[in-house]
Order: sequence, then C-alpha cells, then structure tokens
Amino acid sequence: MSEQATVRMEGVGKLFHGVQAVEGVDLEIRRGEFFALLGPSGCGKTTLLRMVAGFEMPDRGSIRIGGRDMTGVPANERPVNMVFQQYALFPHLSVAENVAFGLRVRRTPEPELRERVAEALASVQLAGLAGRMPAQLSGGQQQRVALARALVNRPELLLLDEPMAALDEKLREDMRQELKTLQHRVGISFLYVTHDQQEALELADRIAVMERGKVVQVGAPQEIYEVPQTAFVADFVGVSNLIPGKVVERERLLVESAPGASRRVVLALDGFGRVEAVSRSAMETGARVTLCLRPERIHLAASPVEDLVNRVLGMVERALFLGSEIHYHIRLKSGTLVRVHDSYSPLQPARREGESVYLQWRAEDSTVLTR
Amino acid sequence: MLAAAGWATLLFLYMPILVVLVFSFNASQYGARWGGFTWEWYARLAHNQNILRAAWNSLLIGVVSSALATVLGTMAALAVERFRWARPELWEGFFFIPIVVPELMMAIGFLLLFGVFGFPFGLGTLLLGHTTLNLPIVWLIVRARLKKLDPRLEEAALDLGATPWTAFWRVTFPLLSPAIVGGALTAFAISIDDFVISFFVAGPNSTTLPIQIYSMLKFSISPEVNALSAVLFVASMVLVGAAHFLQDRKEGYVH
Ligand SMILES: Nc1ncnc2c1ncn2[C@@H]1O[C@H](COP(=O)(O)OP(=O)(O)OP(=O)(O)O)[C@@H](O)[C@H]1O
Ligand SMILES: [Mg+2]
Repeated sequence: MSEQATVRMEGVGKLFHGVQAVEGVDLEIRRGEFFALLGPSGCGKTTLLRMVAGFEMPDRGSIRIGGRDMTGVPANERPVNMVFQQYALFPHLSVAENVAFGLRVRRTPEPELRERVAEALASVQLAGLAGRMPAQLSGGQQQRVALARALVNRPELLLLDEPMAALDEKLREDMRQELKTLQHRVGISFLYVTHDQQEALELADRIAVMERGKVVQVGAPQEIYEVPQTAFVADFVGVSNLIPGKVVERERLLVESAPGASRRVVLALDGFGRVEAVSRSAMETGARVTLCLRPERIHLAASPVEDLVNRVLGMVERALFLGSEIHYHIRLKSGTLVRVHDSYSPLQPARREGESVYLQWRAEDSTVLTR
Repeated sequence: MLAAAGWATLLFLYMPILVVLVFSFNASQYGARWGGFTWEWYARLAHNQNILRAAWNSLLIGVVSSALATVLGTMAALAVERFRWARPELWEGFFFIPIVVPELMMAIGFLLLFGVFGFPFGLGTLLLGHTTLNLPIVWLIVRARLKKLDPRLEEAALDLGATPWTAFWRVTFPLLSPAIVGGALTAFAISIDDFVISFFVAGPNSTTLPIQIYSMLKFSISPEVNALSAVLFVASMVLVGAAHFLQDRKEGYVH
C-alpha cells in the first residue's frame, strides 16, 4: 500500500473530566499539504494537535503518521515537530542553541549540526541573530526561531498552534506570505491550527472546520466558502445572511454534473417571501431549511434587473465605507436585516442611507442548508 | 511623621546588631564602656579549641543537612508538579505547616522520637533535625519557581526528540537551578544559626556554634562572644544575599 497520507486519523476521541474535547474525528492529511484546522475557541483544535504530537493520548480511535500507528509512541519518537502558540523557546539557550536542540539530542555530528542550523536560520532570515538570547528578540523574530527550531529536524509533519496569535496585524500578514513560501520550499506537510477564518482561507490547501469537538466539513477553501454544509460553517467562515424558511416547490432535475445533481427549488423564506434557489440534495416540500446568501452575491440596483430572478425591496439603513468595499445594512419591509457588500469605485456613487434599493441575486448565488 | 516612624523602626531593628558589631571591637573586657578599638577578640576566637570544634560541627551539619534537604526538597517539589497530584494546595499546606510550627515543639518532638528509638544523641541526630528543619524551606523556594516555569518548555524539548530524562537535565534543571542554589544557601544559613533544635538534639561532643555561644554566655558576656556573633552574622548575610541574588538574577527566563 503506497502511503499518500502523512497523517490518517480514524475515529479519534478524547474526554477530559467529562468534557468531550474531541469526538469521532476522521481526517487525512496528504503529503506536502498545507492543512488548516479551523474552529472557534474551545472546539478542540489544540487537543487534536496535541494528540498528533503525542502530548495527549486519544481515548478512542487511532492516529497513523507516515503509515505507522502512533498508539503508545511517545512524543520524542514521533516524526513531527511543533511550533507552540507562545513559541516556548528555551530562555536559557541562544537562538543557535535553540535551533540546534533537536539535532544535539539526536547526537548529530558537529559539522553537520552547524551547517544545518545555519541553513535553518538563513531560511527564516535570522542568520545575523544566532548569538542572541530569546528575550532579546521581537515577537516576529521569536516566531521565526520557533519555525527554524522545528524545521531543522526535517519532520514529516509540522504542527502549528495559532502561530500568528501573538503578532500584530501588519506582521501577521507578512508572516502569512512567508510561511506559505516556506512551506512550498521545504515540501513538508503543515497542520495549522487557527480560529481566524481569513488565515485559513488564505493559507490552506484544505480546511477542516471543527465545532464542539467534531469535524463538520473538510474541503478546499473555495468549497468551504461557496458550499458550506451547515449553518455553523456558513456563519463561521466569512459573513453570511442565514435566512430560515421552508421548501414550497421542487422542480425536476436541472443539471446533471459533478459533484451531484442540482435541482431548482422554490423556498418560502421568513421575511423574504418566495425565493428560487439551487439545491444539491433531494428535498421534500415542507422541509425546514436555511438559505445561505453571501453579502457580496447580492446586487443592489435602483430598478429591477431582468435576469436576476430573486428580487426584494429594502431600505439602506447604514453604509460603512471600508476603502475598497462598502458594507450595507439593509432593512426589508418585513423588518429583516440583510448585509450586502459592494465594491467601491469613485465612478459609481454609493447608496445613501435612507435610499430604497432592490436586492437581487440568481438562484445559483445561494446555498440551501438542511442543517 | 510616617517617615520618622519608619526610621525609628529600622533603628530599633538594627540597634542590637549594631551594638554587637561595635562591641566586638571593644578593647575593654568588662561592662558597657568603650575602651578603644581592637582585633583581639577575633584573634582569640581563632585559637579557642572549643569554638573551632563547634565551628567545624556547624559547618559540617550545615553543608550536609542543606545538601540533603535540597535534594529531597527539590525532588518533592518536582513530584507534586510532575505527577499533577490531586489538590496541590493541600501539599503546599503540608509543606508549609512545619515552617510555622513552633520550633520548640519540633525540638521536643525530636527529643522524644530519638529517645523512643534509642538513637544516640550526636552528629546523627543533629543532621536529621536540621534536614527536617530545612526541607520545607527548600521545597517552598523550588516549588515557587517551578510553578512559574512554562510546562510547554519541557514539552518542546520532548517534541524535539529529547527523552524525559534529557529534557529535565537540559531544560528544566538549568531553569530551576537558581532556585535550587538559592534554596540550598538559605537552608545552610538557617542551619548555621539554628539554636532551639540543635540544643535539644545535640550530644556532648556535637556542640554547634550557637550552643557554644550560649554556654559561654552562662559565665559572662565576653567580647569573644560578640566577635563570634559578628562572624556568624556576616556569614549569614553573605549567604542570604547570594541566595537572593541567584533567585532574582534569572527572573527574565521565567514566562
Ligand atoms: N488538560 C485539560 N483538562 C481538562 N479539559 C481540557 C484540557 N485541555 C482542554 N480541555 C477542554 O477541552 C476543550 C477543547 O480545548 P482545546 O484547548 O482543544 O480548544 P481549542 O480549540 O484549542 O481552543 P482555543 O482556540 O481557545 O485554543 C475545552 O472545553 C477545554 O476546556
Ligand atoms: Mg488552542
């Protein structure tokens, strides 16, 4: 069996004093993949990561790394390395000695050790700071040391627990780019924990969204964003208008294409009235559903546009200018509030507060959620 | 007002020490009269066989008991941390109580205990008494430091391939060493000038310095005693100062 997966988790669960921190997690991380674990605080991301690292043992299920079952294998014998949230650099050792730590405990010959440490430091642009102590470094520099200290060991998998959390906004953006470049260059699989959806969307090849200990959806960033499978995912990843309603009419098969058939359905949405949408799964009339409508998919216009089938009239309650975008809060007659994001251009005047506008979108612009 | 009160309090605290220090250089042998400056009493100390023997005993007991207390206290502190014993505050209480228990009670307890088991009083009983006295103090100092250490540091070492043993010696121990050395020095200082327990459990041939001073005082306050006290005082100050310095110095290492 050729192992394409760096990590394979099957039915992994962990209970802490009656708290189900992680439950029934099945995941596969492919070779060379940048994989993000995304979820709100307390959903079990760190716990899952620590089980991969070997600091916690799962109560249920198994974790295989590089095809080898890790049950009973202690942390120091696993082919993974970790970048800790607060970096956990050794405060009594210099930058170079921090990076050399893993090589020293494995008794790497001195010439090779020196070469690899220098190479690792250069790869994170820290060549000049080898002699400094961790306390003399900025947050960004400390993070680079933590990265070098892990990567110098050439692990099969690098674990990162919210590595950007301690950095300020600007630095975070720079580091994201650098991290992505670094990952491409070293070709090591990354398992990256974050609660920042922006970060996950930008960095990851694939994302697993976690909710209360469970993985609720796995997929490429676009897939997670465009086709969220639950209201939780739709709400957590990006901004959505989540509108409850029920199915009133379902039409015959519309398109037959991967990944599955699409059907046109007609929904009665609370506060919206009749709306056309496209569903990928078969639905009964009368079934309760939630429609996920992304704010940037809604077209605003003073008068109706012919080929946008869904149309509802509202009034601009608030317009927030954000530079390249304008965010509107639009109040429908029914009282429902809808969020709409529009790109800003000086050529096209923004809607003013108090103005009446048509909100319009195509059937394909929304996602019907059954959960 | 407050400042004046503060100075008065300080003066009150340090007067006895100052008096002893000053009179240890007093050339007049009797009474409280100042008879000029002399080193004579210090010179005599160096030739008094009883005092030298007592000093040797004190040093021996101090070094051995503080070393024992340091090893045991450090191991106990590590055990509470490492095995995440239930109710750590309970353990803290258990280790703290002996510090505040009246020393006299401990001393009487030792007396009874050694008597019951027929232990011959001497260096052995002194050693046991002092080790028990010092152990909770070392435990407290090391534990305080350990609680401030980031447990992730040791995890990071394991993650990088170190065995638990290597992780301890390369990461935890170096970061803990200021507290360990500080604890040892404090223990030594306490042992050197302990009187109560020593008085109860020492044998006829195991006199320590404080007991020696006390027995010399029974006859008269000789300037020699002043000089000896001054020597003890300076030695203690140096030790406690060193202990403090070591504990403060590496604070930057702790997260
Ligand atoms: N050692 C532990 N003992 C008891 N409960 C724990 C322990 N570690 C984690 N938990 C619990 O398990 C759940 C998941 O925690 P975890 O740290 O994995 O969340 P997380 O997704 O990493 O959150 P965050 O984004 O805040 O770091 C939480 O309810 C937490 O309280
Ligand atoms: Mg976490």
